[in-house]
Amino acid sequence: MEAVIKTHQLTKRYRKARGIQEVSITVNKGDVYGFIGSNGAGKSTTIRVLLGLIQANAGWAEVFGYDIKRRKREILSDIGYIPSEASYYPGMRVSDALRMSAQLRRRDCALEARRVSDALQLDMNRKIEELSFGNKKKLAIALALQHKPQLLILDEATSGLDPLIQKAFWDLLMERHQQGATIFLSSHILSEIQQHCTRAAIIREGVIVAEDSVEALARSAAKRVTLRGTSGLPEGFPGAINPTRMDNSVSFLFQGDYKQLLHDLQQVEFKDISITEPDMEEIFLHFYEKGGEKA
Amino acid sequence: MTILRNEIRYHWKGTLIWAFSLSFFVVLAMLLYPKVADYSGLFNNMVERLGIFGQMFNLQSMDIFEFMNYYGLENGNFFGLGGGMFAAITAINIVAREEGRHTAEFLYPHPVHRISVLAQKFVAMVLQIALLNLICVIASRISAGFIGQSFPQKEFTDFHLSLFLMNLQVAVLCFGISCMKKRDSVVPGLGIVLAFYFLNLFININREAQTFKHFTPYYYTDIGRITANLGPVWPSIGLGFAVSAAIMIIGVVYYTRKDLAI
Repeated sequence: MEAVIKTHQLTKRYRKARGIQEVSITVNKGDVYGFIGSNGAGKSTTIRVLLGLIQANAGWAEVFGYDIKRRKREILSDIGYIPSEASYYPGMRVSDALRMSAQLRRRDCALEARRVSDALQLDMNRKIEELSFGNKKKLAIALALQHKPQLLILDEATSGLDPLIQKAFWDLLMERHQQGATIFLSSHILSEIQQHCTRAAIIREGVIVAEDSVEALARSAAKRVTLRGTSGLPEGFPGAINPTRMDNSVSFLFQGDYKQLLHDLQQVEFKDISITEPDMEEIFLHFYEKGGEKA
Repeated sequence: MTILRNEIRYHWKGTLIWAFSLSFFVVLAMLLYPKVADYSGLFNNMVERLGIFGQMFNLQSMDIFEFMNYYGLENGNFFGLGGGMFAAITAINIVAREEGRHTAEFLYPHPVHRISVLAQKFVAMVLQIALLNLICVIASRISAGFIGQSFPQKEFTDFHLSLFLMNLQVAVLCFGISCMKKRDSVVPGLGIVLAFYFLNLFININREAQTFKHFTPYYYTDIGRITANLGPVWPSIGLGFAVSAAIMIIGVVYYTRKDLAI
């Protein structure tokens, strides 16, 4: 597999805030890669290092096989980036920003800019100062897509977009993905990651706590065990994480030896049992509650 | 050239407003010249009684009713201070604004080298300052013709060259500082210009302060000194530019390596 992004023990320390510590991830060509973490976990710091906006203190990163420090121009010419909060030059219209971006890339993107703007219902003649947060986000999306980059780096890309526009946005992204683009999606909207991503990494307090396919992450995480027709679990039931009681059922996450679980359950009265894959939120909470221990 | 075009496009109006405002005061001072010249006797007495204030503006060392001296004195105050402020305000934010207004996150994910961005911004800054100076020169020429006066060509050229270089020196210094700033604020720039201006006044009244004469570019825009020197005061200009350029180079090197504040 050809790696589009590869980082090795990438570390960025700030004087006051926590940065990232020994982040090693691999995003392969054609991946839709989710980068999951809570606010301040280090998602944006990692992205800014990849884009050359800030410099790592240690470790290295390659994009398209090039060192990000030495071949920044080549790398950036084929990246589309959507920041979490986009800022633009004053006095510009939407079309001015799109034109300026195309000129900075020395490409004629007029046709694609028009197509993407139409898909997102973005009025190209409006002044940027007059746009709502959501419309500014649409412009950021158009700026990231108009030059048809091979790699899309999206930092909380869908925040501020209404559901219809979110759908249009994902349709555009998936179209690009089918054309061969790789997508690196930083988000804390877990359903988005579960729905669209093939692989994901979870970052916690600047440290990668898990990186794998979304399916494997679900497997490596705890399973959700639900017992119905029961009065509850005995105190300190081995391996049960966050047991929750509802009416006459109890639900908990479990990771460990399932034979042992079945053995231990013989002490518990219940009428029905289901063991299911956890959803993305549960996977995320599982890795966060493990306190950064590598999965 | 995209960044250069962008800078010019969004700042040409401001440059014109500054240029026409300063030109207005220059023209006003020129139109007053015939009246002032008529009352030269009365004004001469006043200048003699000004004492230390006359010294501040170097009034005692020249005939201020001679047209070029009058022009240099008035223009040195209006355009010298105003032009210096324009140069400082333009330069002090030209780089820092990208981080202060978070547009760095728009600009730098594009395939542009930071040196190229700085070079284009520098050229835009010089063009703005040149335009301001050009408009003021044209306004001076037209208003001189209007009152039936003409400038001695060499002195006029030397004086305006010195003013332009002073603006440029301030701008180069502030550009370097702008590279090291993270917030857009004009206060440091204005502070620098006012410090330079008042340092020159201080040097004029205090002979022992002559040591500091090369620390302020206003020293070499003084019409009395240009006339006495028979041309621009090149040692001051050279030293001033060397210091400003050194600070700018430090700023540029720092900027190419620093983490952008977003």
